[in-house]
Amino acid sequence: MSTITLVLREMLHRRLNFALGVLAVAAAAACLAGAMTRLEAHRLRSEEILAQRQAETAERLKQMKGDVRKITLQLQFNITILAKEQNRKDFLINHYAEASMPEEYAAKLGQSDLTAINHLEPSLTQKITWTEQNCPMILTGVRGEVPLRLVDAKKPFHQPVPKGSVALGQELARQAGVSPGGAVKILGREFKVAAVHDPRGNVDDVTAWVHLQEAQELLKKPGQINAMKAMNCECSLADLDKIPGKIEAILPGVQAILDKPPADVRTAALARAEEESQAALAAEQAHRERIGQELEASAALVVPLVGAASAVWLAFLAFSNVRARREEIGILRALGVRGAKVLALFMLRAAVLGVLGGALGYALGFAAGWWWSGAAESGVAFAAQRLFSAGCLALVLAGGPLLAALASWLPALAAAQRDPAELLRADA
Amino acid sequence: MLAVRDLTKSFTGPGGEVRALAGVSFELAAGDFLAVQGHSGSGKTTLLLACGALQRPDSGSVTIAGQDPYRLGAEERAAFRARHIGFVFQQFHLIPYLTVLENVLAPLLALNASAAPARAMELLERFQIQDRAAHRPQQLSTGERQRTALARALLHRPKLILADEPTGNLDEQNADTVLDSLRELAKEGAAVLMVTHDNRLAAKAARVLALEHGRPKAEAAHAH
Ligand SMILES: Nc1ncnc2c1ncn2[C@@H]1O[C@H](COP(=O)(O)OP(=O)(O)OP(=O)(O)O)[C@@H](O)[C@H]1O
Ligand SMILES: [Mg+2]
Repeated sequence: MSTITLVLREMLHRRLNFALGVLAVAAAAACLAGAMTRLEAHRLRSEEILAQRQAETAERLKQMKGDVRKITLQLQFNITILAKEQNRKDFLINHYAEASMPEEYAAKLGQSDLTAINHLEPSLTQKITWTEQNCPMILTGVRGEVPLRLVDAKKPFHQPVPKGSVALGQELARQAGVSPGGAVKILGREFKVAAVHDPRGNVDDVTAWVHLQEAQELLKKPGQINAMKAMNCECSLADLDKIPGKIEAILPGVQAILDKPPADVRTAALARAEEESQAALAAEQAHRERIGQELEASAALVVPLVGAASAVWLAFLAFSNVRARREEIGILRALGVRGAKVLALFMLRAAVLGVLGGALGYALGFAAGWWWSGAAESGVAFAAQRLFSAGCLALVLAGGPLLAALASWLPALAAAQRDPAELLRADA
Repeated sequence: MLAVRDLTKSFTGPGGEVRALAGVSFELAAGDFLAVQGHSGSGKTTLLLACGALQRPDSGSVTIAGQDPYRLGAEERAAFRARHIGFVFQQFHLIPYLTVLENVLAPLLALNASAAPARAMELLERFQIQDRAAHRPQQLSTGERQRTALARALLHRPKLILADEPTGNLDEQNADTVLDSLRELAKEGAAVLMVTHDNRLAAKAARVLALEHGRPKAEAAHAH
């Protein structure tokens, strides 16, 4: 005759009370497990949705970036460098600068740490009257590209004009009636016509290019230039705006003017698309979080409510069980069974009841939560093992017996402490 | 084995105070067999419960095996009962969901005894309920229940046996079996206190204590 035999026999004998107790624990456990399963499903689904959205967004942005990159790679980012005191408006109107700056500036910039510039051409340009032909012309002195310390020499952008030679724009060549190989006089000095450019339809057609040094002599500006062109600048779009400032930091006597590439518009569009995607993502996330919070809030309301109802129900069942067993308790106590052992009988019963109720409740709650999330998340049901939570199961398997034990503790304790004779008489 | 001095016990009911015991004293040595007789309501059960360390008297003292169980705490008193006392209740008080055999073995919940199952079967055979061993109490006749209760009280060979009408529902032959068993136990050194209405059985006891309104009327010794 062992304690466990007695407990099991009693359970079978008072099946209804025991089954109702199991159901009470199961109800609380099912509620908890159902809510937790639903929340877990929601969390998993949120993760999935967000990951999917993120991937979509990333893919779209990647495509856009690729497009923009292709476009920007084909562009030349040119920078015009002028003397600091040059009025920009005048420069833009006249196509050349009145203010000049030392030619060494070009060398200094070439030796600097700036890597964005691929080609650097110093020049001295001035509008003059071509006295020999009695007409205005643009005289430009060029000397070829400045070597750049950090950039490998590239194919020069423009062929330099050798000393004693001139390259003429179409209009000027026609005016003077010369062709390549001929000779022409400019400001009293004779030049060999090295080249005549095809018509370009712009200021180039009225420009004569000579060697920089000869231009300096003709224009009486020895050692001076009035512009440098930095061409084919390469850098990220984001850094582009910083380059003029960098140049001005290297050469405090200059101002740098950036030809902003049209890719800027696309960059802005890209940035806006990126922002919008991020915002959409954040909104989706917020939406999922809000649903999650609503689920949590309702769980926080329902679970304790059902838990409390179960506890009351259990307490009632435990009370009626103890009441029905007063005679038994009296018999056992009269036979010399200690009160602590009588209490242990009730606790053992509560433990069995709680474990059974917890397991049953977890199974029911899990199934319900699984089904519910499948229905709620647009028919997408997760594999059951992904939603299964050992922690939750452990919680209800521990919580069920605890709840049942708490519910029967007081009535059992009170009965175990009563006089056996009183208990025996109560049912007699 | 048992010494009772000036026991009094009153109950307060709806009709005022009922004096169930009003000064009872006697002694019971090992091997003694005392029959308690009296009208219904004369205090017999109350006396037995007080002697069985089950109900605290209002005054007076109970000494069992040299110890007053009412000086012990409730838990120690329970252990004390398990060790020293075998009690047969007037209403049998069997546990309804246990079989006859399990009921007889129920004292094991308080004590450890390895030879208990064999002893239990022996008792069932002695009281001729061995073929009822697997039955539940509600499947038994009143007399069978009574014998089951008696077997349970005797399982651990207590030194003090308190039997409240153990033969009340038995035919003459079964009553004699029970009485013989109790006398045998007394011979083996147990002190036996038995309540009975049956003068025939009381006559077989060594001594008789007659109660009237909670007082001893006379204690007559029978010579054998
Ligand atoms: N717990 C109790 N509460 C109130 N009154 C009680 C209680 N126990 C016993 N009594 C009263 O004490 C008196 C003696 O009761 P007791 O049970 O001892 O009588 P008894 O001699 O065993 O009677 P019977 O032969 O009918 O079993 C009775 O009048 C009974 O009503
Ligand atoms: Mg009685």
